[in-house]
Amino acid sequence: MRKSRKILVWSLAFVALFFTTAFTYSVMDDVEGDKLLGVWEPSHGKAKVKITKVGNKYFGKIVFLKFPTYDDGTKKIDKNNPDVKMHSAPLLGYKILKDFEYVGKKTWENGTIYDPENGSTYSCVIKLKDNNTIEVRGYIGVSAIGRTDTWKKLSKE
Amino acid sequence: MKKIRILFASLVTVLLVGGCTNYEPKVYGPVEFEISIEGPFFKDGVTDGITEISFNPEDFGISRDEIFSMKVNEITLKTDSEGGLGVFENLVFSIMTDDTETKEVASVKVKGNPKSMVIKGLQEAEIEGFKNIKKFYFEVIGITKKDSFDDLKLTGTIKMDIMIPEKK
Repeated sequence: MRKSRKILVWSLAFVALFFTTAFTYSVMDDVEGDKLLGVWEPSHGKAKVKITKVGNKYFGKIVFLKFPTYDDGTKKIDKNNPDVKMHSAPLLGYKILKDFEYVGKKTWENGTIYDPENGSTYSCVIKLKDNNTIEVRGYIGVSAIGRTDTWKKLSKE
Repeated sequence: MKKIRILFASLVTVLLVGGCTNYEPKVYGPVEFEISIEGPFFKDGVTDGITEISFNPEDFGISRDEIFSMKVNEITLKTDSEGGLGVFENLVFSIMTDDTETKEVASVKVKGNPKSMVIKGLQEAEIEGFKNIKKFYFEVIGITKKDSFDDLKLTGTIKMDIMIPEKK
């Protein structure tokens, strides 16, 4: 009787420890993942991108353009988008980073990056180098064939 | 050889049956939403608001297992704010879920200073993978064309076109 009670106590303790550890890891993942939130500047300095979180995914939209208009004074639009109906959409506010998920090890995956200059969408991986620097790698097919850009953080969300 | 013939015949049958399936349109909605956008807004700035909307096709007599395709048909947008929707130059709407690819579903250039608008969905923007989704996030991104210091409450409805296999 005493032995079975001992087993029950140990089992309960093990289950409690398991759930506490899982919960702690989940909270830690949220904290780590949210280091991506804020306003970032790509290396070309022509735009600023604000990264926000919706549900469990991260998105980035253009919140500043160094040259917001064309030579004729009209505002820049998404004229290179393969979807013709989006050609009238303004570049300012455009969501260029989509659907990133934090996968641990300071890395966000499963997202895409859109290049408004040629209307192409690439698979993308983001890695946090330090709290103010990320490496954004866009690629087609396999990650080995692509281009990496370094973005600097301007402000925290 | 016989196996190849059977395989070929099966493939042709599947293609014929699949190719002959007719689909009928169903309307999902209108579903009401409310989005609060926090000001202040500044000229040439970007602002956004988001709301969570339940997705229950059964409420509109649609079995989720039957959904073949889905698109936004129409979005209505209203505000009681004094400034109206004229604070915006453009509005872009998108739909996100935790498990599917984010899609821009409508885009509009705001003319004048209306209190309400009807916006047609982008016909090309098919929303995929909705069979197992119980909710989605509906986001509006607005480009502001003038300064405004008030918060803005937007209300409206969203209506979607869903194609399901035709019942014989």
